[in-house]
Amino acid sequence: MEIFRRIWFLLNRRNRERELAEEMEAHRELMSPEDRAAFGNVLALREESSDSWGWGWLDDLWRDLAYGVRILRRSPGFTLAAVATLALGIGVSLSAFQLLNTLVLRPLPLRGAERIYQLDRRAPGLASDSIAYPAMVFFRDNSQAFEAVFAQADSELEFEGEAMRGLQARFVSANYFAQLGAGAAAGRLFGPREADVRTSEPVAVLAHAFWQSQYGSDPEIVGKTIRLHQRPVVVAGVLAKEFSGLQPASTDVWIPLAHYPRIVRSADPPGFETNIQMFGRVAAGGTIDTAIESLKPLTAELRTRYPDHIWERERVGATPAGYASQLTRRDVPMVAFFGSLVLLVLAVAGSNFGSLLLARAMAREREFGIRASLGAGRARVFRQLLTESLLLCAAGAGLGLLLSLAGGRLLLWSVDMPQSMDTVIDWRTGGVALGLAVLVALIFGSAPAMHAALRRKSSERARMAMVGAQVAATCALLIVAGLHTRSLQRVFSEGPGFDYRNVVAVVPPGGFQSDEVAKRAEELKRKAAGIPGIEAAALCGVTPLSFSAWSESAGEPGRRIDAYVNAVEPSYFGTMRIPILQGRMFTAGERDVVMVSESLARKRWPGESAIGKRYKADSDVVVVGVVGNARTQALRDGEAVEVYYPHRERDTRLPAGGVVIRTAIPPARMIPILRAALEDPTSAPLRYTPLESALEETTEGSRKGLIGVSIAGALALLLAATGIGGLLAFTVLRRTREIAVRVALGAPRVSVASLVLRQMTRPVCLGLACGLAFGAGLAGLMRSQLYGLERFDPASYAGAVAVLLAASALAAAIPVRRALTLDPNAALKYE
Amino acid sequence: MAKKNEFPAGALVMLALRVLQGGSLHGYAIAQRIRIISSDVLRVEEGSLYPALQKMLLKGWVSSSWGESETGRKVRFYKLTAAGKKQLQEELKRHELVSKAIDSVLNTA
Repeated sequence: MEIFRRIWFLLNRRNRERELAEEMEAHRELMSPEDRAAFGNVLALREESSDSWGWGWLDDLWRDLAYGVRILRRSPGFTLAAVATLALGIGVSLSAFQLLNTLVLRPLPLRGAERIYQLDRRAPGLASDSIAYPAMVFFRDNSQAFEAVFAQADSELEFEGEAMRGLQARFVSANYFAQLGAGAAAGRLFGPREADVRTSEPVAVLAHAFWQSQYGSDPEIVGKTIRLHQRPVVVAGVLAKEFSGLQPASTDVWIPLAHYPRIVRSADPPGFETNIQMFGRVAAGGTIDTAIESLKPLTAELRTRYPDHIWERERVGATPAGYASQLTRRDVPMVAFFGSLVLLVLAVAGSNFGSLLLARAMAREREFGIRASLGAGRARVFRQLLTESLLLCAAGAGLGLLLSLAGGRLLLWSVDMPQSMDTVIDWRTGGVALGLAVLVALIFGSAPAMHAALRRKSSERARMAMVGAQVAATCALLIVAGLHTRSLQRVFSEGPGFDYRNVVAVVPPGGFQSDEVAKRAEELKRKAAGIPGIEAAALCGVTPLSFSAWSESAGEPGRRIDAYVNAVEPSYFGTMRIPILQGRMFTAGERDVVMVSESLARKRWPGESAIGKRYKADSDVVVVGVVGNARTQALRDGEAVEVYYPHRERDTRLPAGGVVIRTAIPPARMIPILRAALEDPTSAPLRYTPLESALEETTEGSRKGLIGVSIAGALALLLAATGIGGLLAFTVLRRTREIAVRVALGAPRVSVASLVLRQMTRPVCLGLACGLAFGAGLAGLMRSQLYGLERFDPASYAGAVAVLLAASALAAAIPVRRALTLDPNAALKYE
Repeated sequence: MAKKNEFPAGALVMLALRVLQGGSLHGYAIAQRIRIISSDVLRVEEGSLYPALQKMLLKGWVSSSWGESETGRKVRFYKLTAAGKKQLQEELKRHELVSKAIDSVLNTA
């Protein structure tokens, strides 16, 4: 094979060259002296011969690299600026990729992660990702489809009697740690012994982060007793830092699932009201499809045994669970949004790099002139410059990769990932770093290289294009940052449509739709009415800001309007301070009536009064009142519309619900009083949620997002400002003579300044126009994050333009000053 | 330079292959053969033979080994391989086709 010979020639290259030289020398010796001239140029022929081995490009590349390194080392200032710019731009992109890699691409650090699936319930028109406890036990005990079956349930537990502080507890099956390959940082992890509640005491394993923050990594905590939900639990050990568990979350303590009933005080063993998450790991070589298929007869049997709890035509579904999360079609706008953000920063950094190269190419004109006169072709110069760009980009990408370890960690923190989910340098991140380096070198390095190779006198147009690109990308980023800030402000200033201060939601724990919970909620409401310090209380199906949202279609046939639905007592509106705008309130126990939000009324019956209208075409339900908009279920959805049904003892479509209580004193002080009055030692402790802290929690993600967007915007602004400043400084330098002549002839200062400033008008104006358009596009992608803010919120756009103009002016100040203070005598003499 | 251009590289390879059909030869001998057989008409910049020989080695048309020349000088001998023989047949066929075509044009036009 020719390719092998070729590689063989390369490997033995030195020998081959020596042999070639020797044989050519022999040839010349054999020729008669007068003929020797006919042999030709020995050196050139030797080179031509070795070129035929096809490795000439490698030599050239090596020479270019060596020359590039030498040249770059000779101008450390330029090299440093270029590498730092690239490291920032590429580092931001790589940080985002680290997030994607850790969450979606890299399997969790668990044994056999690729073979683990979450098992869920599916039936025509129905789906649930959790499975009832008895169903899990039935599948586990009767199926050989899986190598191992895992179960887990997350629950918020009260810790050491502190009312305001919930602990994130995860109850897991006894095989969890051993089968998933977890290690202990201290003490021991629980195992099969803890599968039976009769032979084991309640134990807990602390998460590493919780152990650090709560106990200062004190190993003495092992064997001590802590109180969870007012029950004593012995700390068995501490989990190793690396263990993430399935569906990583910020879990504080891990408890054997067998102890779940004792701690949360549910039926023992738990019945169908207790839902857990179930996972199965297929054996190596097995497929999930056959495993799922083998569960079909079991599900059918379960349905005959428990017809009330198993749906008709129910089957088990599976989704891969060996990864922290999965991207679905719903995530596309979000991924597109964040992808655009990081690419914008990369574009700003890249075009900044491009302008640096252009300026440098100007400064190196002499060198290129010499090289050209020595016979270097255009292609050769172009290739040399591109190699230099590649070197710089590779260095920038390397540094960016290191930066992304920290940047990615920041992003992981912002999406509430536990410590165990960390950033890495692996073949994926390394490959993307390399790809970005090549991409940036080609996109932003080839234009300057072309300019230099063709020895164009003026690269001003190219520089302007680069600056324009920076301005455009920065403008878009600033618009996004502005929209983010404004929408957060709005949540706090305009409010979500209800008064969240001094309101506590009290919810009995238990199944979503259990009759018991509904009864207990009623009892709570009755008891609460008698407590001093309580201003108002109301039962509702869905408590505000409880992370659960229920909606139904409120449109006419052919026109879909999704309305958030709730069932409330009439006193709900007073308790939440939601105003009645039109009509009347429904009365307790009234049937076939609803109240709608002003937004729903406007959407459904534009220009008409909603009062007396039929709510749905096919039913007798009539609208009796219109209330103010209150985004209790979807704070982020600016187009949310709401409908309220009268609260009944049991509404089968809605959760069993809870009570909202308006207190006269701050909730932190009120909760202990409520606890003393409402709790009952035989049943599970209630959950108290002050709405104010729930609101903060809901907006926390956006606040973290805002930090990220602001950092990106600030970086871009800094880079764009240096880009503009550089462009003008260069103009002043190149036109020193012209400016000096003008000053000498007595030109007014304004005209001198405008001569310089004119350079930036076009790129800044064009950049702003493109940036505004691009920002509007991005705003469309982030609509669900806007909390009801207009997508074309004028203040955000104007703010972005103002900030950019101010930054440009600031950046322009130094070069303009230099032009104005130019000493014409000195400048002209220098020439 | 001009001389070299008169002599296309492809033809040089073909001639070298043809000359080697008689047995292994060293570089100088190949050049001599071509010169003598063509009665001094095909006289090339002799050194340009070496890039051609390197290409032939790479393609696997010839193999090489070091030996002693008639004058006792250490030289490299080239020998036609099976692939080289096949290549020569192909080149000869193509050459025949082309020269016949040229001839017919020259004779009729």
